[in-house]
Amino acid sequence: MSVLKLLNPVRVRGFASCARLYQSELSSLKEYKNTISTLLKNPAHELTSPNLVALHSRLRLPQGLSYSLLSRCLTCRSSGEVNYDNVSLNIFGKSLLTLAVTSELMKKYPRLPGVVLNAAVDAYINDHVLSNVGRSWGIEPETQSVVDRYAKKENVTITLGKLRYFQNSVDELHNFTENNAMAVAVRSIFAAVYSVDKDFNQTHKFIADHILSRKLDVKDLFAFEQPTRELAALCRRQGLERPVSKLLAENGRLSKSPLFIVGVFSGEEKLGEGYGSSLKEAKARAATDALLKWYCYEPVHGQQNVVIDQGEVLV
Amino acid sequence: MSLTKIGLNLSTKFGVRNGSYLHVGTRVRGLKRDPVESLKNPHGLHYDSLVKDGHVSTVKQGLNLEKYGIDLPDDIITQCLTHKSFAQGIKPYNQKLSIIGGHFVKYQACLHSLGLPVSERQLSQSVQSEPVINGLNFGMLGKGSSKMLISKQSTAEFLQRRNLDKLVFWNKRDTQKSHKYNGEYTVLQTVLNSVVGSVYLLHGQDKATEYVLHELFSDNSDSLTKISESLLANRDTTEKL
Amino acid sequence: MVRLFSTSARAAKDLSKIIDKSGKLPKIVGPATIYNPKSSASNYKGYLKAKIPAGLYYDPAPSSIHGSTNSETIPKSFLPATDPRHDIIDDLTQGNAEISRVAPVLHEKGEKTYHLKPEDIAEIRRLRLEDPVKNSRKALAKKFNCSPLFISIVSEPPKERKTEMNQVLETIKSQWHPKRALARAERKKRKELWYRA
Repeated sequence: MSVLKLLNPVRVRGFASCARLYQSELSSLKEYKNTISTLLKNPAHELTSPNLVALHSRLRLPQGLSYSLLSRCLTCRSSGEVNYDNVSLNIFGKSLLTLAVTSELMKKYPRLPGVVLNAAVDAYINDHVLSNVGRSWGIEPETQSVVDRYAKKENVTITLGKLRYFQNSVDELHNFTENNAMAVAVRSIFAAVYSVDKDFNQTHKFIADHILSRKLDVKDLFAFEQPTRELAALCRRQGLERPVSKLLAENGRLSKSPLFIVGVFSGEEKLGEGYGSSLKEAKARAATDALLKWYCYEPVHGQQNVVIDQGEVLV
Repeated sequence: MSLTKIGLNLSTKFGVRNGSYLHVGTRVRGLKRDPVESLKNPHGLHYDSLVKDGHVSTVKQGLNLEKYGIDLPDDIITQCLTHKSFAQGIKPYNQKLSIIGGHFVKYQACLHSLGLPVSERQLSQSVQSEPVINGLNFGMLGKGSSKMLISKQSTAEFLQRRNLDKLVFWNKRDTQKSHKYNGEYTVLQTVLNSVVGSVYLLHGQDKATEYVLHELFSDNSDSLTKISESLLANRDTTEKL
Repeated sequence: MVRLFSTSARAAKDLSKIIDKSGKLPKIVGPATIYNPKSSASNYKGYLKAKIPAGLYYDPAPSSIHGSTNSETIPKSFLPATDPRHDIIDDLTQGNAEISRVAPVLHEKGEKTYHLKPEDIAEIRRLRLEDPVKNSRKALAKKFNCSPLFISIVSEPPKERKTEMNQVLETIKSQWHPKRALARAERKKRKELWYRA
């Protein structure tokens, strides 16, 4: 780590005064920085950062998860910590989360189309959502440069309990924002939880508590293009009678604001119902409604047989 | 006599259409194809013959399902072998089974690489690093070998060695072009993933783990581990040349 | 709807004693309020509380089923064979069959026929390329006894015709009053909402 890099003018205010730092000050600054690394990398040495202790007990993390590992979860590669970051933890955490969320969604909504399923999984575990989870956990990002902290004579354990994702300058970060860093840290914590007792069910419970408990209305993810054609194709595939749209009620047909209610029927069975200020609109909405009822089917809790879907209708 | 007369009358009045025509041969836009013709895979196998001619049991044997006490119904096996591109999706296809199966295989591959001992190369590369966390080797994740383990090439080879690639139902983008253009490996990967996915959904996670560990990631010569190792070795030699 | 129980006290208790499992679901005739459905104008006591026997009633909200995907509104034929709700759905959707018989159909459509042969398709293509003005979609549809949509699926007009018609459309659009242009744009946006939940 060169001295010049430490004194990058982008981050350090009062550059002129910094340039006049004495040599002894510089070496003690380096020492300050090294203390952070050694403290982080030494698992035998018990870290007692107040932030880590608070985060650990707030999340009720298992006892086997050491403060040193938790601090590693918060250390991103972009922070410049050599060979002791959360990159590999993040990879495993992502695969854990994806599996848990996908299997849960597929059990709950067995008929979601592939695109919608992927969108729903993404809606649970994308970077934006996970960074919000991280903030709600109380993870604080480290926003001060090393020099600032050194000048304040801040205790080194404080920074080890924060999300460390930048070194000294912002321009080195490219596209890696605070949100991305927060999401990486959250995923790493899930991986760390797994590493303690190596039991998927325990980790799944932790994921269920923090991720799956969030509400998602899958209906909002749908946008059909030709619902009437798709419904006709669905009925043909399922061996049902051809869907027919029938007018159920209307109001003020010749007025400025007419209202129609149309039901779509297969034989004598009503598949869906739609409203609209024109017959076309009501018909389209009825078909959309019927398709939603098909795709958002939920098995009863504790139903014996697993429903395996044959795939969405292609038109 | 009178009936035919009525028929004739009707045909003049309403223009009754002749019997329906199902098209055979090269595709013509707008014409409905004869199912006998359209329900064939690139190797000329008909969809119905899969169950009729006992190809399903060939698949079960090829994948060694019985060895692990896994009994998948015939229709699920057929669904696993059918890609979304086949016959405009009128037959059940494997898209979502392969999504969940793919995630599960990826997860198992991660665990597999976490369980590996710390290699010499790893030790020489990282000076002070601590790849082992709570007894798991986190150092190999995201490296070439663990990616190759579940890559398209390896899974395609896995199915080809068991002669199952000819039983897969899919539709080529262009029959004249290469397998790369048509994405044959991707299709084959969905097949293997969907088999794992259906085991996962129907028989639970433990059975699926057992199957993946002992069939896919075992030390057999036809397992994904060995296939990916030989593929990596091949690639290294070609790069050197 | 649960009637005549102080729910806070009852909530903790076992509801299975209250629910009548013997036969069909009990139904209330008329609006399910606690007040007497009959007018109380002539009654010197004012309103009377309705005497509805205690129990659990199925009393769906008088609203459209549009956009709901719950057990009450899912069609029976959308349930897989293994679903345990098969038996109760009939009970919940009794009136639908009657409605479907009397409700007027929006568009009467004939059965699909597949009467055109590859030769006919080639002919349609040739005619459309030859003289797109005379052989329009509508004219060809009438001639070959199929829908204009089918004509557009199997054939295309010549490129010059396409560009010409697009130019005409552009000129018309450019002459729109800003208010009309805005209204059309909004209509397009509103239409996208038809296809969402």
